[in-house]
Amino acid sequence: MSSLRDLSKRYGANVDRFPHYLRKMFEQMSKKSQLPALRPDARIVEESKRFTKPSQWKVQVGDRVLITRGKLSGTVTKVAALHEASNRIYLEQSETRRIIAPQAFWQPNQDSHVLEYPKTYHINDVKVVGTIVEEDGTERDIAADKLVFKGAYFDQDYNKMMPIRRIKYNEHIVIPWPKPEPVEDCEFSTPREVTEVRTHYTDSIVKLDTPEGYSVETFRNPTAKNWSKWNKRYLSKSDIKKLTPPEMPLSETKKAMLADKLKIKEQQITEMSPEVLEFIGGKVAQHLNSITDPNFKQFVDANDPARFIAKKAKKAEEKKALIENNKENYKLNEIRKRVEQKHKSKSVKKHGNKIW
Amino acid sequence: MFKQQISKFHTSAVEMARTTSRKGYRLSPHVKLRKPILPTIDNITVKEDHPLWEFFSNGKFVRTGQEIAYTGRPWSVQELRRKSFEDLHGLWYVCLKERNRLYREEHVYEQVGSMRSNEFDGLSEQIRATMWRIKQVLTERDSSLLRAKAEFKADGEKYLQEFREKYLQEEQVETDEWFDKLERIQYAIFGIPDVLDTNIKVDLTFLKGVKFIGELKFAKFAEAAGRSDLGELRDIAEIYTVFEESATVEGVQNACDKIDEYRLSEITIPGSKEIQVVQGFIDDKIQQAQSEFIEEAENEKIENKSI
Repeated sequence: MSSLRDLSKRYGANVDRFPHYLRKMFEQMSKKSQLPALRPDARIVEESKRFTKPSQWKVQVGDRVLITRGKLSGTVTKVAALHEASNRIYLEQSETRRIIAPQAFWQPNQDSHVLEYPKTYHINDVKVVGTIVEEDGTERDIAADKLVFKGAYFDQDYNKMMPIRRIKYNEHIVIPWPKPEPVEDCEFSTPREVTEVRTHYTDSIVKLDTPEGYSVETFRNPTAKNWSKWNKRYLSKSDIKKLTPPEMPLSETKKAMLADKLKIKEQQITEMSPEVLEFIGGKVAQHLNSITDPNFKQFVDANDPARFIAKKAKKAEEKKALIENNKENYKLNEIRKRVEQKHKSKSVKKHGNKIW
Repeated sequence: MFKQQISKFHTSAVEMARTTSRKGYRLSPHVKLRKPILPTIDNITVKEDHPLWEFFSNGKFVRTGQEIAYTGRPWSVQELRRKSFEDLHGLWYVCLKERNRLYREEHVYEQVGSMRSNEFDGLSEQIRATMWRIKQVLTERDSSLLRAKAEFKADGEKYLQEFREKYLQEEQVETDEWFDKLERIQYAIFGIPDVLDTNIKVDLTFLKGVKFIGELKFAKFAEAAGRSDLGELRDIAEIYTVFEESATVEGVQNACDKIDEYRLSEITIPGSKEIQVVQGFIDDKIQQAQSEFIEEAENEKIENKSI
């Protein structure tokens, strides 16, 4: 059964694969089917557009922020959580919406179905608050209108590289990231000391520290339909592009050779001179005039170039006339439109605002 | 007719026993039938070391959501690159077992229609990341080994020549630094370990290494040992005697004494039998070491008894 379940995961309807308008429809349908209490107050963002970097979020949990929109605009509060599904944030002191929670979702010490639930805020609806120290030692709060991220450092508390958060146009003022709550190791985590011990050294090109009879092919499926990317049967265009090294710049001798080739190409005659044309034409005319076979003469006369030229000229004239005619018609149409417009506006004034 | 059919097709043992046929009771009515034993979990005992317990966490049927809450992350490729094959192999099986446990528990929750199965799936995906990264690291190692071999084929000879020149030009090579260098080069390029053990199989690369190191030592120390009268080393047996000895003047002197004895026999080994001969030398040496070890162990035993 478990394999069937996995198949449904792989081949079953996946909403993310549908076009955006169908996706929206399905979202609305699922929203309708949910209890009002469980409906999110903001739209769920698709996974590829969700924030992953601190520079996208601009705030972290514990940051002090100034609310700039809604009933509570002007209050300074703290970021309580990041709602990753909607790219929005929860604040400690925020607007709430009243929901009717089913008893299954009741919190301890709750005795009513009606519950005040905090709303989420967009990142642009808050401003990050930082403190600066004046020359006389007093501290002052400032709210950053715009932020800019320049440079990065390794943060011991977050245990990763963090961008440096500065105020735009005053980049010397840095608003440090808040200190996160320490995370305790869970049952599944490996101690740090164990991960840092190095036990592998490459010291031979004859053998690795692998047992006898081992090969990487043993953990690949030999009957796989889709071959691994390490061992492709057919190479795509992009694969070839990746695998071919870039071309080396041309050497001096090659450059000189190419210049010579170009020179020779330029010297070649591409257009016939009038003398040559006259000469060839004379020869051809002489040949055609000396034809004695009556059938062939008739064929030659029928293919007289003068006839084609006259036909072409006639067609061009007809086209010109048609274009002029069209132009006149266009002008007439414009005049007619203008007159109709005038007439319409008059009638509007007469009869009040009528919809045509 | 109907009754006969029942007696034929009824599957319940009790009913079949009670049904009458033309010959009367099939089972005597005086026989007392006991109540059937209901299958309950209390009637089943499982050994503690039963292999299927590997699918359970601490013998628990299913874990709760809190018990599988995690704060960690998968192993990164950079971390795994530092680990030996043995470590990676162990980690792979730790991951596999945990995934099996989670998969079973997830299935249990899914059968009931619980959303908790998603939590188990989430952790399982995290562990899966570690597993594909292990494969990634092993693939990297394999391809780098292949690349190194190809590169050595192209300009390995040149590198060995350079090393040879450096070694011969150096005035003082009887230092720990140069001993280490020799040891490293013979393992890195020819795969000859410092300590020979039973599972060594001599092949062409091994032979090449023996020749390179043996000739290098002889070229360096033959003059200093005062044995330039030997001329060049004639065959693999002579080269191996030099290879076996330490990279010092004394070592080469010892080897030269052995070569003198060997040359009296006037045997030369042809190229086709070189591998066989070297394998024989190594096997003899290992056997000798083993017999010495056994003797010593027995002596110790006797001493202990006498005490």
